[in-house]
Order: sequence, then C-alpha cells, then structure tokens
Amino acid sequence: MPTIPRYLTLSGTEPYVHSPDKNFLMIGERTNVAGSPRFRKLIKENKLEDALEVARQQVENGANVIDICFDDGLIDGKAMMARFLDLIQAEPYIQAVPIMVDSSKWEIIEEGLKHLQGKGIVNSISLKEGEETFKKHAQHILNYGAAVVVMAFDENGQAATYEDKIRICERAYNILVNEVGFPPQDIIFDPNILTVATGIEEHNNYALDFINATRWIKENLPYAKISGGVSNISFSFRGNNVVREAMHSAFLYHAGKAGMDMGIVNAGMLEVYDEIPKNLLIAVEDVLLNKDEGATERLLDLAEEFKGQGGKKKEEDLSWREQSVEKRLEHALLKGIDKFIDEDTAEALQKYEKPLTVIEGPLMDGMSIVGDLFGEGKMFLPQVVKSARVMKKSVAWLEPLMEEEKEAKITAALSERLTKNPNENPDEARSAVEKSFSNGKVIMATVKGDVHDIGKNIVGVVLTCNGFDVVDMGVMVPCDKILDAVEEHNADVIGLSGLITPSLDEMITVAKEAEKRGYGKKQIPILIGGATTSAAHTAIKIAEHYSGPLVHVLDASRSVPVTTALLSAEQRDTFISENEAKHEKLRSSFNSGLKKETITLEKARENKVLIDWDNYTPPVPEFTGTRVIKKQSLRELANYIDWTPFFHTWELRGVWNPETKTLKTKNEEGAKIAQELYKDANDLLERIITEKKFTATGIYGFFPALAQGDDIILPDHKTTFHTLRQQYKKSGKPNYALSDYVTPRGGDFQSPRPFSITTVRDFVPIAKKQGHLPHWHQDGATYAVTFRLADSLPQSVLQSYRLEKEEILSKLRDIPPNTDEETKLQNDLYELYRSHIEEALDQGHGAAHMKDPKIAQIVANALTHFDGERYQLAAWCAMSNHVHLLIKPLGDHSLSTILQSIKTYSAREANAALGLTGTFWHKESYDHLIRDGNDFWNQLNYINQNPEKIGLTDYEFLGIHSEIYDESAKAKRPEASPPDHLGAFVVGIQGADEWAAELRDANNVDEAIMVQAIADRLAEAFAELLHHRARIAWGIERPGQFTNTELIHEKYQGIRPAPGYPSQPDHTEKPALFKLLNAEEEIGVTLTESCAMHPGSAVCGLYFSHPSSHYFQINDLQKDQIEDYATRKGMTIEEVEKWLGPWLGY
Amino acid sequence: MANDLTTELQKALSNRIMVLDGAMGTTIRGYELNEDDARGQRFKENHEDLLNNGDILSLSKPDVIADIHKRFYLAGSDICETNTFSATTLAQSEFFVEDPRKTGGIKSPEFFQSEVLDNQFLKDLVWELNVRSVELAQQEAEKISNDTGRKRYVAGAIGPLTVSLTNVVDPNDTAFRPVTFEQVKQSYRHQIDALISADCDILMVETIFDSLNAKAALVAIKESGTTAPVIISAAVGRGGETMISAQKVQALWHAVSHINPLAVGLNCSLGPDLMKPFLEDLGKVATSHISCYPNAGLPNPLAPTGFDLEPTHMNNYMSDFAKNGLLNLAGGCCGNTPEHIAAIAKALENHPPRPVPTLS
Repeated sequence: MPTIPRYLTLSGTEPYVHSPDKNFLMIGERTNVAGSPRFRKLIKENKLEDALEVARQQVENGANVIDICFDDGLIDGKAMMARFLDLIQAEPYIQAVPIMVDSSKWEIIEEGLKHLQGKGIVNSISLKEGEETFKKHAQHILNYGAAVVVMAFDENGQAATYEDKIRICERAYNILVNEVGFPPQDIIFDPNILTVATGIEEHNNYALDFINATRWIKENLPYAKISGGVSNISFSFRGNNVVREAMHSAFLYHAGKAGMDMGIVNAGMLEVYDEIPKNLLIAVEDVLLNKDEGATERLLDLAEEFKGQGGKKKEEDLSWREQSVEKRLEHALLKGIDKFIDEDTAEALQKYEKPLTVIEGPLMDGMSIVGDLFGEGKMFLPQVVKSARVMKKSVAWLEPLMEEEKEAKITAALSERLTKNPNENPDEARSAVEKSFSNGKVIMATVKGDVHDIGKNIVGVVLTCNGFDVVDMGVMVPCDKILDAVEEHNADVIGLSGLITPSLDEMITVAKEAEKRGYGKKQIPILIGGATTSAAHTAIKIAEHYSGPLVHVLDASRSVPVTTALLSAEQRDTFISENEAKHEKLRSSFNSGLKKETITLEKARENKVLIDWDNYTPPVPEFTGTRVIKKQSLRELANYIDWTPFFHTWELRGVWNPETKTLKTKNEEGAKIAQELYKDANDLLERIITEKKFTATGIYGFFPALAQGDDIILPDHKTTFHTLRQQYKKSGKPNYALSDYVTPRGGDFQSPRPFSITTVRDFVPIAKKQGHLPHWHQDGATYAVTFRLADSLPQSVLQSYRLEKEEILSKLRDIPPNTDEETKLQNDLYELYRSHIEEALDQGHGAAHMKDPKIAQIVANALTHFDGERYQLAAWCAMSNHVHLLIKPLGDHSLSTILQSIKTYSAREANAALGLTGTFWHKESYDHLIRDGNDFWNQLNYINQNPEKIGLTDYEFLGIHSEIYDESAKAKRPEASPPDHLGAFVVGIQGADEWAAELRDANNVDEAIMVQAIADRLAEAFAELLHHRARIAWGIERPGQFTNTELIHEKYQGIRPAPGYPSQPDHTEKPALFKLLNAEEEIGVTLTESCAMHPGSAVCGLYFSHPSSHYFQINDLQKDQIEDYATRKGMTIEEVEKWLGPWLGY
Repeated sequence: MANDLTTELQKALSNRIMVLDGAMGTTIRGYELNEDDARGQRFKENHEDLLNNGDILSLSKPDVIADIHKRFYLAGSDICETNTFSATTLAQSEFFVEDPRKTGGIKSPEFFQSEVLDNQFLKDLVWELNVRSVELAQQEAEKISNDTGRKRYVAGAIGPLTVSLTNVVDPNDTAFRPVTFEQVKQSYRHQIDALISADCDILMVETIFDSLNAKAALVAIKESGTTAPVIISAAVGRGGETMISAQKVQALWHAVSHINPLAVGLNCSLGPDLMKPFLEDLGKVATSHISCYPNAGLPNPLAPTGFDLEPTHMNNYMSDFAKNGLLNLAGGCCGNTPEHIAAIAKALENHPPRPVPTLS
C-alpha cells in the first residue's frame, strides 16, 4: 500500500506542503494591524490598494503564509476581513499563498474562512472559554478545512511555565484528535513566547520553558506543530535592534533545534545566527538559556555597545530625559531627536520667559556644540542635518510668539540710538539696529535656468545650524528677484548655486547686476557654489565683475567658516585679503600659460580615431524610432543604484562596496555613519517604492545615422548632432570627437522584392480577434510569430506579464479604434511582450526540448514543410524552447490554421520521439502584424540575431529566405551593409521635487534632502538600466551577460554620453535630442532656457555602439574650432563662447 | 446505513475500476426535443425559454431522462448521476426570475435573497426536481441491478452555479460579489437536503469552476449532518487550474481533504489527453480514490455529439490511464454517449484500480 507522509498541507491557488526540507515556515506579519503601524494606518484610511501592496511585498520577500489581522477598536474587523480577502482573490500573485486568518474574535475568524478558497490557518483558538466553546470552534474550522493555531491558554489563563504549557497543550490535543477528529498534523501549538530579561526573576526561564515545551510537544503529541510570535522574546530591548535581532535568531536557532516549525516574523529583521558578534551571541544565549543569575545584567551592559547600530530608534533609552531642560535640548540637537522637542521648547520658554532668549540661549548653545564637532570632523553631515531639523522644529514652535518680542526689542534699541544721535536718518538707523540683532542673514538661490538644489539645501541647513538666518529662494530664481530679496531682507551674504555650465554665465550676470546696485561697494559678500563651479572660474571669470568679496565655497562644510569669517569684525579683513590673494594667484597661473599645448582643428581632425569602416558591419537594433517606458518599476531600479555618489552628496568620501554594504574609507567613523545613512536611505527607498511616491518615465530610440566631419547626421529624421574635438597636443593617442564612432557612410540595406510590405494605415480596418493574447490579423499581411513550449516560462514571469498586460488591455478597451493612442498602446503591449516574454524565453527555462537536435529538426521540418505552398517564410528560427517566424500566408490559408497545423504535427512527432504525452506547445502563439519596411527588418534582425544573442554561433536551426540572404556566401549577414545607428534617451523621476518641497515646508529638512538624493540615484540607475536594455535591443549584449555590479562599473560595449558633460560639454545639443525623441510630450521631462532638465532628477544622452567607443574629456577649445562649430550650429561666436566658457582654451 | 454504503463503495473501488455514466446534456440532444417538449403543460406559460434547462426535463419529459439512465446502466455504468446539475434555487433562477439587469438593476446579494433564496415557488420547484430526478435514476438502477445481479448506484449531481464567489464582476470594486458565501451555502443546502430525503446514494460536487463555491457546498454537506459518501470533481483548464478561481489541483486537494471524500477527480472542460498531467498531479497527493470523466475531446460542431472523440478513442485513452494506475472511477463528461461509456467500461475491465495511498 503506497503511503504519503503526514505533513501539514496548506494552499492558496498553489499548494504548500510543510515537508522537512522546508525548514522553517515564515509567516509574514506586516499585514497585521497590531504588528504594523503602517498597515493599520492604510486600513484606517481605507487605502486598500496600498494595503494590498504590503501583502504582495511580503509574498515577494519570501513569506510562505501571510498573517491577516484587523483586530483594532476603530476597524470593523469582520467587514474588513471579508473585503480584504475578496480583494486578494483578484490578485493572482497574493492569492497563490495560504492565508492565516488572525483574530481574537471568533466571528471575524469565521468570516475569514468564508472567503478562502484554499486551506489556510486559523489563528487562534484556546481553552480560555472552556471545553465546549473550544470544541465547537474546532468543529467549525474542520467543516471549512483549515489548520489551526492553539494558544496555550485555559480557563485559568496563559501558560507561562513549562509544566502549564505542556499540560494545556496535551489536553487540547486530546480533545481535538480524539473528540473532534481534527487531523493532528493540522494542529499548531503556540506555547506562548514571553519576554525575558525584564529584571523580574520569574521571567528568566521563559525562553527555556518555551524551548523545552516545544521539545516535549514534538516528542509526545505526534504530528503537532509549533509556532510563536518571536518578537515578544526581546521586548525589553525595544529600540536596540541589533540586540533584538540577535535574540530572535538565537532563539529561533534553539527553538528550531527543539522542533519549532514556524513563526510570525519580520523576515527582514533577522540576523544570521553565524554573523552575530561572538560576545553578543554568548550574552544573548546566556539570557535565553538562563545560564545564571547575572545573565540579564551582562546582556544589558553589552547592549549599550550595540545601541543605535543599524537599529532604528533609540527612543527607549530615556535616561537623558531626567536632565535639565538645557541639557535635554542639547542632547536632542546633538542626537537629532525631535520627539520631545515641542515639550522641551515649551519648558525652556517657561524658564527663560522670552522666545528669543530660548533661541539665543540653550538652542544656540546646543547648535554651537554641533557646529564645533562638525568643524572638528567629529560629527558628519547627515547627523548635522538631523540636528538642523530639530532646531527648525523648535524655532517653528517659538516663531508665533517671537515677532512681537523682537519688535519691542528693536523699538527700544532704536529709541535709545536716536536719543544719542538725533540727526541720524530714522530708516537707516532702524536697519542698522535690525542688523545688530541678527546673526547674519544669507540669501541663497539656485540661479535662473537651473533646477539643481541638493547641495544648496545642504549648505542652507548647515548654515542654519550655525546660527545664520537663511532665506532660501529655491531654484530657477531670476537675477532681479535675488537682488530684490537682498534689499528686502537686508541680507549680509548672497549665496549662488548652480550645477550646469550655463549657470556659470548666469552667475556672472548676477555679479554684474549686484555691482550695478552698489552691493559691491557695500562689500556684501557673494558666495559661489555648485558642482560646475570652481575656484579658478570664480577668480578668472566672475571676480572681475564685482568689487565686493567673492568667494568660491567648495562644499557644505566649508560654508560655515567662510560665512563666519565674512561676518566677523575681527576675521573679516584678513579673510578677504587672503581670498583676494588666492584669486590673484589663480589668475596669474592661468595667464602665464600653464596651459597644455594645443593644435589647430585641422591637425586635430587629421589625428581622429581610425576605424576600419570597410570591414565593419554595424549592429542593427531590433527597432528604429522610439519606445516609451511610462512606469518603470522602481524596485527594479533600486538594484541598479550606484551608491558611491550618494555618499559624496553627504560629503562622505570613499567607495561603496555593494557586497559587504560598507563604505571603503580611511575614516572609520565616516564608514559607520555611512552605514546608518544607507539604512535610512533604504527605509526611505522602500517607502518610495511601496507608496509609489515617484514615477520613473523614460524614452529611448534608435535612428539610422552617419558621420559627416565632426557632425552626426540622422538623414531620416532631419536631425544633426554636433560634436567637439579635443585640441591639445597628444602623443600617440587620437584627438577624440564623438562623431569618430559613427560610420561615415550610409547603409544600402533595403527590403528585397519578394516581400512587398503594405503598411497598416493604407489598409482596410484591422479585425481584432479575441483571445488570451491580442491577435491582429489582416489579409495578405506579413507576421512575426513566436510560439513556445508549454513549460518555457516560469510562473513568476507570466504572472507579472499578465498583470501588466491586463492593465494595458483594459486601457485599450476604452479607447476608440484606429487612433494614434490605440497604436501607441499596441506598441506598449509589444514592448511589454519583448521585455518580459522574449527576454525570459532566452533564458532557456523548462525542458527546452529543442536543445536536442533531433527534436529541433522535427520542428524545423514542420516549419518549412509548406513553405512556398501555403505560406512564404522570410525567416524562421527554432530556439531551445521557442520558435520565431516571419511569415506571410498565401492564398486562402489563414495564419491560425497554418500555425495549428505546424504545431499539431510537430507536437505529435516530437512527443513520439521523446516518449512523452501531453501538451508540447503552449496553446497561444504571439503574432505581430508587420507595419512597414522598417518593422520588417527589425523583426528579421531579431530572428537572425537570436541564436548569437545567447551565444550560439553558426546555428543550424535558423533559416533566412534565399532572396534576402546570400546563401552562396553562407554568411548570416545581409549582403548589403546596414546603416549605422545612433541611439538617444531621456529618463526622469517625477514626484521628488514636489515631495521634497512639502517636507521642507514641514521642517523635515533632512528627509527632503534624502528624497532628492535618492531621486538622483534612481534617475542614474534608470539611465544605466535603459542603456542595458538598449544594448540588448542593439544586439551588442546578451541578457544576463553582466552582473548589476559589472553594469554599474560600465564593463560593457558602448557609451551614453550626455550633452553638457566632458565628452560633449555643450548643453545646447539637448533641444535637438529632446525634439528627436519628443521627450517633453511623451514623458514630461522639459528643458529650461539654460537647457537644464526638469524634473531635476533626470538624465539624457546619446548611445554609441562601436566597440572602441569610450568617454573622454574636451577642454582647451581653440578659437578656430569655436568659429567652425558656430557656423555648423548656426549660432554666433559670442553665443557659443558663452555656453562653452569654461572649456575655452583662449 | 449510509456508512455501510461508504464501506461497500470503498471496497468496490479498491477491487476494480468502477464506471460512471456519460453526458446528460449532450445525450439529451440526441432526442431532438423542442421548446414545447421542455415546457410540457406545466410550464407552458413560463416567460423564459426552457429548452436549455435540462433539469426541468425530469418533470416535463421524465421518460427521456429515465431512458438515458437506463442506456448508461446497460452500457456498464455502476454509478449514474441524477439530472440535477442545475437543480438549485440559484441556478434555476436563470429560467424563472427576471434578470434585474434588464430593468437597469444589478445582481446583488439583496436581489438573490429576496427574489431567489426566499422565493417559495423556486424552493418548491427545486425540491421537486431533485426528488423526482433521484427517483428516476433509482428506478432504473434497481431494475438493472435486479436484471444483471450487479448493484448500481445513484449519485446526486451538485453543479457549479451561474454565480461565483471569487470572480470579479465589477472592475471598479474588485471586492464586490453578487452573492455571499452564506447564500451559496443556503442554496446548496436546500438541494442537498432534497437529494438526501429521496435516498440518493452519493453526493457529487462536480464540475468545480470555483473552489470557493465548492467549499460552500461542502460546508453545507457537513452542516446537513449526512454521512453519505461524497465525490469531489473539478473542471480545470489547460494550465491545470480551476476554470474560474485558478486553483491548482493539488492546492484544491489540500483545501478539500478534510471531507475524506470517497473520490476526488477531474471532469469536463478538457479531453482525456489534456487532462492527464493534472490527473497525475492529483494522484500524487490524494489519499482518496481518483475519479475521472473527461469530455470526448474538444468541441467540434461538425461531429454528431458536438465533440471530437469517438468511442474507440475514449477506449484508447482510458485504457492508457488505467494501465498507468491513475483510476478508481471513470466515465465521460460532455460528448460521451452510452456507446462511449460502453467503450470506456470495456477499457477498464482488466486493469487493477489505483491503490489508494494512506497517510503515514
């Protein structure tokens, strides 16, 4: 008699068997309103879609079962349980897993059972209300079919000791198995995990009691399972996540050895047992296993060391709350804790009576310590920013009370002053008095045409921390507005910021105008900062226009000493003269010709990159024109983030190692801070992803191109890109220009005669057929068809594809036929198919029967059998698990009958050869109607390149129509040479600027900066990912050829230079690029008059495919090239000089 | 009594592969009935057409139904299903209650409660349909048992309903369902009580499109207190998932194993060839007998039964299944005539049944 092991079995739409190899069953706890404040908030606000996303994520993170609980006084638990489970039924990904219906109310549990088609788990029942109720509930659960969690509770309450636990569990087991007839493998005991290390002696053995009870139950109650809520164990260490995580994993390790089967856990919060620091592990195990009386004390002592490391909050160490209010404010500022700031500020106000005294007293004292520590390198920027947030919150609390007091103070001082000097102009006197009450006011702005402001925001925060009064005017601020504000606020310092080159020029304009308004004479300092600014440029190009102090500020940490010096009566003069001396030195070294030796443009062109174009066949992309990505998955982007520049934003230098998640730097303290910052960033990133705070949109395209001189021409698109050439004298190396990497001749690659391609628009309306995949079919047309083996795609791929497809299809249903929008959506569908299905197919998933040449031959025979008779094949290819055809049905033969006959015949033959029965091919075929000649060639190339793409050369099961390919040459390339192509792309992250502004308004300055910094990283990551996809579409890279890290380190073929960056520093190339892609309309990324992109987190560029292409640096441009370039671009020489100022060598 | 029957059937299924009947619906087509036949005198004035209401023929054309049972028993069926596939208040409402959507309303729990579940006419009619249908089958079973000396059984068919508890009907509110679990359970319970009151031998929850509907039927069976043996049979698509609720067969088994059914299996929607891998999946985990009654291939409007496969084809497939040890109970669904069943019965004759695994 065959047997099946008596395992616990569960199901959603997929089965789950808890066999021994499954190890530990993870029950996701995040969809429990008691376990997750965020989930509770979403439910209370009825944001069920987001709540579903939480469920989805848990499944994604590996939860085997998800726990769903709505036990909360303010939630109608029964109705919500019904509704939420019904919603899950519409989510294939979530309903795949079993569900744990969790409630302390029986009616909610029963409601849950009525909405589960699979076998779930009830959590929980117990003997608390006596045997009769217990039996009744168990019988009900058995009627529905579910496993059950039984808590170790009885009429007398919760079992805390070993003896009570096993006594109650045994009693419950006997009732369930012998009286109710409950399958023993479906009984899961929760013998109560209780908190240890509470300081109460009776609690010391709680962990051991649980572990021992577990062992006893597993030995004495056959097939019963053990579960528990693990985080209870460490409750006394709330706030110290390092210790908690260590306790959880050590506990699971020991309980697991004793037989614990499953637990409600936050899978992301488990330290790996082997990675727990040795001393911590010993201390933790001493506590858990109750080794001796001192165990708790020892762990408490040791825990101090781990406090705050990787932990989220330190909220529970509140000893500092017992100090004086001044000390508390100082502590709050130093540690960046804003939790108590309102009450402490209120208390300080009571003590000091006046708001200004509070600010000038304890708050400024605290901030000056922060400033000092920062100056000494003992505090780091991220910490300082947190301090600033606390300061801002405190000041915001005081603000409403302050105006009156300030006014009174000024009036008093003014009248005193006027009494002394009765002849003084009252207005001037007032302004002087006001100034004397201020610590120094700084007007800051990102100049006109530029949108970048992370750096400026950081400087603002740091200055605020150091007591300066900062007026931040935001981004793209016109010159007049900045200067008006200086007047209005009676400012002491002007700070100008900019990231892109044209901003340098705008800064000159501001300097000139400020001079005109007499600020120079008044000696109002102007600070210059931002990524493209430099001390040299400031000294050479800006300083001459302004007679006041003009200082380049390298980074945020430099901003404090500079501003302090400029506003201090004692330091001011020395500082200004030193600054002036530095400028003079820079100017003289510039003029004294420490420049590189340059050559004429003509000579430079002679020394261009030499490529043997005659023996070069450019790769042909699988499509020309553009593709739009309307909603790129942020989660996917997260994997492509290069974190190193992120840390540079926070002035933490070093290289981030993604494997060890550490910042390689000599500064140990900095590395530690980096780790905390990384954690915060990832928490925020997670939030951004789950709450869909950002939208990532992108567009890219390929266009036939040829090089002409230093220009790249796109003949079909009437577009020209201009490039610049290096002009300094080089030995042995070429003088690079980007145009060197494009073939100087056009292609002669045209469609052959036998296939006259009719475009869709000229034809009768397309008949849409219903099916699982959209079929467009049309008489006399040519199709690209893909069909595949039944098991060729993993469920996960199909599921995500189906979901996204359904989204597009539902849109498609709502719009009128034969419109542009319809065409676009159909293209989106096609793109989706390519990116999801075809890429996945190339991974060779499943049995891949056609790896066997015998089977591939059978399929090939079937494909070609009626070629020329019932249909004409332009190209075909039988890959290991799928088939591509480019096919034109002939006569009365419809595509579907042709495909059916091919599939039926080959399936039968192949099954016979393999000795199999059952489904060979997947029933669906994907067909795509060829739109035009371009489309035809793209499809042809896709098929032709498919084997090579996955590394198969001279592939046998590939056929190209003889009139298209030169059979005699046996070459797999077309006889004629295809044109070279140039690619272009724009990506943008929408939503970050708005959110950051909101956060700043709420004084969450640190988060605001974090939001922008992450948005920048995501934009870069998107550019990297899109380049990766583009290279695959271009056939110069195979999917999976490089790891993400390798991609980040640019180990691939081809480049994506951006206008405005070293290889082509001219920003005015952007408008052509944007127009070519129609990027403003398609994805909503726009250009300012200075060619800065909006939103700020955006990247654009061109794609070059040539294997020798690489990045280089243009500078020291000579007049001859500028003249030539101006003529080519149709601009005046002055204009060009203005845009290329920093790169000129004359 | 009923417990003895369970033991008796368990034993029989362990000794030989028992034979189910074929299709009721497609076999009725062979009698070329028209709308008047279906209505008879009794439902002459009904405002909806009744020709597609196969269950009503138990009242208007009882001789046809009895004849079909007889032909299947004669062809070798050990068990015939009653003509009650849609004999529930919810399913019959399609023929006797005006669709609220015709007048701008919607099908909602309120509609089903007041117009269907509390509709005395429907309740009486459905009760009568079930009782009469069991009688028709029992009469034939008894006759043939006596004539041949081999005991024949009657299984009460409990079909899938025309409403679903998992299917999303309103894209703007994916949590909306036109009917509640309690209502589905209530409707099934009414049918089950009627079948049991007429001494039906077996309860057969079959052609399961939606596992949650089926669960409601199974809870209703549990709550009715009957100890009649239960057969559970799902209709799966080409991916091996229930047609509406997309549950895999092994997941379904986990969800129903607590019933300890006499048999679990697959029927309808697929021909035997496409059904095989999923039957194998089920056989790997199920600790009950396995039943299988596929369609006669795929629909083919040109064939006389409307389906592709002929008796010899079914014979080939089923003997292959039997040879592979997949079966304890087999018959045919849509497109299978008494001739098909005779061919299937023949195919099963000399093969041992699948040994039922036990839990260890």
